[in-house]
Formats: sequence, structure tokens, C-alpha cells
Amino acid sequence: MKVSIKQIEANGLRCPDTLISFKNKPTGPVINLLQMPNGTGKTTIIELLQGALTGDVINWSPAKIKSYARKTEGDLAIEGLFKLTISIERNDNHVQIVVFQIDFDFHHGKVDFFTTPNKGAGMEDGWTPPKDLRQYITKSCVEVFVFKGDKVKDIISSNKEDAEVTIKAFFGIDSIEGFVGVVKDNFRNRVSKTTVNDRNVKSEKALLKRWDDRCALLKVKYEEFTKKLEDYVKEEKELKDNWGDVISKQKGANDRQIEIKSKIEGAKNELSRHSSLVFEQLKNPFSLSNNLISGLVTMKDSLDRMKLPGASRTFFDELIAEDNGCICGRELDGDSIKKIEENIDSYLSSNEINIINDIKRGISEANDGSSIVDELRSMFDELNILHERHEDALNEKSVFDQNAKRNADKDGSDVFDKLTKITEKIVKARTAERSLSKNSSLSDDDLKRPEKCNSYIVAEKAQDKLTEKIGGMSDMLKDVQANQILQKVITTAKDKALIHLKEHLTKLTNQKLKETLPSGSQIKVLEIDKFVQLGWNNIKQNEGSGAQNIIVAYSFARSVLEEASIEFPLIVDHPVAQVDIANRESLGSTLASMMHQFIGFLIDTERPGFLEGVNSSGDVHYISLFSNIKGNASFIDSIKKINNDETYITDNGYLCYNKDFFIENSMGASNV
Amino acid sequence: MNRFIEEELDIACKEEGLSIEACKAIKALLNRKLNNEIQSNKDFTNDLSRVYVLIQESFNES
Repeated sequence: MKVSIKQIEANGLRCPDTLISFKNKPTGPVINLLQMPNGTGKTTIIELLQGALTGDVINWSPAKIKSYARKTEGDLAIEGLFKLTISIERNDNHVQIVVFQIDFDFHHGKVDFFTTPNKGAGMEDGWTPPKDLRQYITKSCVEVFVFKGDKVKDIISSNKEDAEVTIKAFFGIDSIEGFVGVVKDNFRNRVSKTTVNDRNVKSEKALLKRWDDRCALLKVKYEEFTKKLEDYVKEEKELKDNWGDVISKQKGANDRQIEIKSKIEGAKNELSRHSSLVFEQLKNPFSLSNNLISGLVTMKDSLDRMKLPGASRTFFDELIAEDNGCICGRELDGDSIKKIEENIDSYLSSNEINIINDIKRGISEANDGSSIVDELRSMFDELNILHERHEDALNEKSVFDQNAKRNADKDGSDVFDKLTKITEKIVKARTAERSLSKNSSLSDDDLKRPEKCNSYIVAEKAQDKLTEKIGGMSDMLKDVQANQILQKVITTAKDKALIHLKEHLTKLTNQKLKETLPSGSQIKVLEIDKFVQLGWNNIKQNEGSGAQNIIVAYSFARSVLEEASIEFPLIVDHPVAQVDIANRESLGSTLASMMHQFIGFLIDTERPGFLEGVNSSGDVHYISLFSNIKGNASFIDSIKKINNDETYITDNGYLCYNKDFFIENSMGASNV
Repeated sequence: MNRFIEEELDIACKEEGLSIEACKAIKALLNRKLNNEIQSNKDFTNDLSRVYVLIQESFNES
């Protein structure tokens, strides 16, 4: 199945009213480059594209919906429209056109969502794409081919889980986890409906009901915090960008900020590396206390004093079994054998002697040379120093920020205050989210007190435990066992399949890297777990160059899509912002080999090098979009010279497909 | 359903001593769930009950 973006239509939104057609071919790749001055609504278009494709916009809050309204001289638009048209080509070459339409009611903060599942067919209420497409256009799946912001880094960053989230979403691992939940719920319902007239069963059922209520409440809370956290992180990202703009206006501040950032990063890495060493050392029980070692040495001395027998029980066992007489040549008669058998238990077997000798050797080694306890103590001292160094770097940043705030104007100072507040909110929300999903053990005592439980994971455990108990008490033991086996089969298969998928995707991604990266590039995927671990010759590295990181992320995305037997366009915001000019050309020239349709939202600072590379790579479709405002007067003058069939003009926006216009008119940060 | 999941389901069913019919029924139910083909709770409960019966029969046979 091959999915392509055909058209985007927007009206009354935070971007010019427009109708953008993207190029696509039955065979061969096409690169679509869209340039817009900063502040024209690039983010709006990308977010609505995602919201329309996933249907997620239906769940947006009224405030979020209202935030997409166009503001003209202080007045908000009353209504708006966003329409996304895609084409789906299946293996039988039949092409299906699907339209997702969002009608905005900004006044009430509501949307009406429609889907037209076929060309010529009527609109259907709600998000109703073809069934075979649905599982691939969930939020987590769409993020694989709509690259926004730091997505490239999120895939390879060790403190993110984006790679695993992607794999789980694309191959239905998420849905299987959900399925296990549905099976549990269903079985719990069956059990709670049993009509056994027994006081104990009734009492356990009442307790289960209390756990059901508690679990539902905790889940709602968890989802609330997750949603909040998502919004806060987004807000923080925007505020950080704005704060970056404030700082860049202050003399020398940019360089100083980079210096502090690198100091924090260095201190953090050192701290993390040393913490791992300390934890490793803590695994050694001898490192815990000198008393433990001296006690063990005393035990060893006692064992030495015991003068363990030179011969083992095995020797006497064999002597009797072989019946060849004693080693002194005497015949072993019945009395002698009886005597040996009476005393045989006072000798140790070979295995027992080996174990004791191993223990003695272990104690000698533990007590050998420098004290492990002292070593651990000095490691903790070093950890303290590194922690202080990290704290100092953070304080330095705090002082720097305070100074930058003092030197900023009122708006800049407000940005900083908002950033501080949102960071605090993120910390609180993260703590709450962690506590609500903490996986801790459940004692019999805990089981009696649902209201004391603060984690929905523990509440689920309690539900399972009680369900099985009630099932067993209600003559449903066989069903309980069948249910346990079903869950075990599915969970085991899911976990193992995820491991195989990760291994397979590691191989596929490396194949693609080999095809795309210049020969001699020393970078590959060592493994995929929560994130894509890069390295070379089994030595891990945090990341590659800017261009390498992008190629790794794209190759990973292509591998996922290939294994899922589906093709999507690659839609990228700022395709080469993190790439130095020297490498942009080679990246641009390889883009065409990556996806059948590439849509890049480009800004002026990314053009040098990249445009040359892209131009040499094949079929490129150049699109420029800008608002009808004074600041764009030079673009408006130029567009008047372009043929009508290459432009689309509305009351507030201009769209142009002319290549020369694109090349001659650079749009982006410089047009703010 | 992805081939890796299908393969691992076969292995897990075998390891648990389930019959081929029970394994097929589990896969069919999971497939229907993944493809959003389950129309109602009642449908799902019926399908699930059949799976339980097949799992129990696997043990009766062995």
C-alpha cells in the first residue's frame, strides 16, 4: 500500500487561506519543497496535517481549537476549514482518494470532522479512513513519517523511547497490550456476574468492585497528567525557543550560553558514567562492610583449622563398589565394609569439598590487597565531587539566566518567568505520572485497602488477584486457568516478537545506512531497544554528525515502513537545520532515494548546499507560500510576473509553484 | 498481523501444550481485534468463551 499527500486546503486559520497541491508520480520519487517566511503558519499546517490524518483533532480541548483561529487586527476568525486529501495505491494498482475535513467553530471551540472515503462518495461524519489504513495512522505511527522539531534526536537519544514507541505502534504491539487488558476486563466481568450464594464470595466481589472504581479513578488521573505533560513539554519547547531568541539579542550571551550548556552536559555525562561504576561496585557484597569481610576471614580460618579430610566420600564409595579389596591389599570382608559404611557420612563428597575450597578461595581474594570498602568509599567521594560539579554548572546557568532576564526587555523577561513556571509544572506532573504508574508489589494487607493505593498498575494487579480468587471460589477454576494461559501465550509472544522485530529492524536500518551514507562512514546501528543505539566496532556513541543522524532516523523510518509493507511520504520540518553546509549537498542528493514522496518545509538558512543537492537528485517541486502583508512586498511584486497557472492567490495569501521564483526569493527567519 | 508475532504465537501455544485449533482461534481473535473488526462486546465475549473452551479441551486431550 502506497500513501501520498495530494492536497492541503486551509481557510480562516493561523496560515494564509490556500490550496497546496503536492506532486506525486505513479513511479519514481518526487521531492516537494515548501518555503514560507517565519510566522506564516508552517507549524499550524504540520500540526493540522497530523491532527487530520490521525483524527486526533476531535479530542482537542476548546482552548487548543481556538488557538488555531486567524487573528486579524485583534479579531478572531469565527470559523475555519482544514482539508487534507490523500491517495492510497494498493497492490492491484487501484487508487483510492480519501479526504479528511475539519470544520472549525472557533466561537465555541469545537470541530466537526468528516471523512470522504472515496472519490465521489459522500462525506461521512467522524474519522473513518479505510480499515486497512487505520492501524498505520495512529499518533505514534504518523510521527514516524512526519518529522517535527527534535524527532531525529529523539530516535537516537538514550533518554527517549521514541524508537520503541514507533515499533510498538506500527506492528500492533500496543494493540496487543490493549487486547490483554480487554481480555482481563472481560474475564473480570464474567467472574463478577457469577451468582454463587456464598458470604465470602460476596465479600470478595464487593472488594473487587472497590478496586475497579479505584483503578478507573487512577487511570483517569494518569491520563490527565500524561496529557498535561504533553502540553507542558510542547509549551516549554516553544518558550525555550523564544528564550533562545531573547538571549541571542544580548551581546556575547549566545556563546556564553553554549559554553554553560556544554559544561552542564559534560558534568551530567561524567556523573552518569561514574554512577554506573558505583552501582557496579555495589553489586560486590564485600564492598558493603569491613566487618563482613573480617567475619568471613574468621570463618575461613575456622575451616582451615578443621583440617578437612584429604580423601573424600567418593573414594570410599568407589572402594566398596569396585570390590577389588582395600588399597593396602587386604580383602574387604563384610565387617570391613560395614565399618566403612558406618563412618562414610563423616567424610565430605568431592563436590562439597570443591564448594568449600571455592568459598575459601573467594574469601582470600576478597581480603587480598587493597580494601574494597575503602575503594567504594573513595568512589562515593568522587561521586560527591561530580555531583557538586553538576550542581555548580546548573547554578551557573541559573545565574546566567537571571542576568539575561535582567538585561532583557519586558517581553523577554516575561518569557523567562513563563519558562520557569512551566518547568516547575513539568517536574510536578512527571512526579505525579511516575507515582500513578509505579509498579510495586502488593501484599495481602494492601489488597484489603484499595483507597490507599496510588498506582493504577498496582490496582490492576489487585484486580487480577481478586478475579482469580473469586473465580476459584465460584467453581470457575478451569476458566481461571484457561484465562491465565491465554494471557501468558499472548504476552510471551508479544514480548518475544518485539525482540525479533528490533533485531530485524537493526539489520534493515544498517542495510539502508550502507546504501545511503558515503562509503567509509564509520557509523552503524549497534542495537535498537528503547532508542536507536549508534556506534562503530561495538563501541557505543551518543550520536553521529548532523547529516548522519538524519540519515539514521530516515533509514529507521524506512525500515519500519518496509517491514510493515506500507509506503508513506516523508514530511519533514527543517530537513537540514542541524547539518553543516558541506554535508547538505550530499544529503539533498540522496533524499530522492529514500521515499516515493518527500515534503520538506524549508527555511532560508537551510538553502545553501541543500538546494544544489536536491536539484541534482531528480524531480523537484518548488512551492512558496506567504501572507499578503507589507513585509512581503518584494515577494508580492515578483509574483505578479509569474504565470497565473503557477500561482494561487487568495485575499490574504500567495502560493507559487515557480522554480525560479523559489530560487530567487529566499524565505524564512529573515522575513520575520 | 506481523509475521514475527504470528510465529511467536505458534511457539507459545506449542509450549503451553495447546491444540492447533486453540492456537488458530487465539490468532483469529487477536487478528479481529487488531483490525478493529469486533463489532460488539457480546461478539467478543462469545469468541473469547470459545477460546477458553478450546484451551480447556487441549488439556483434556492431553
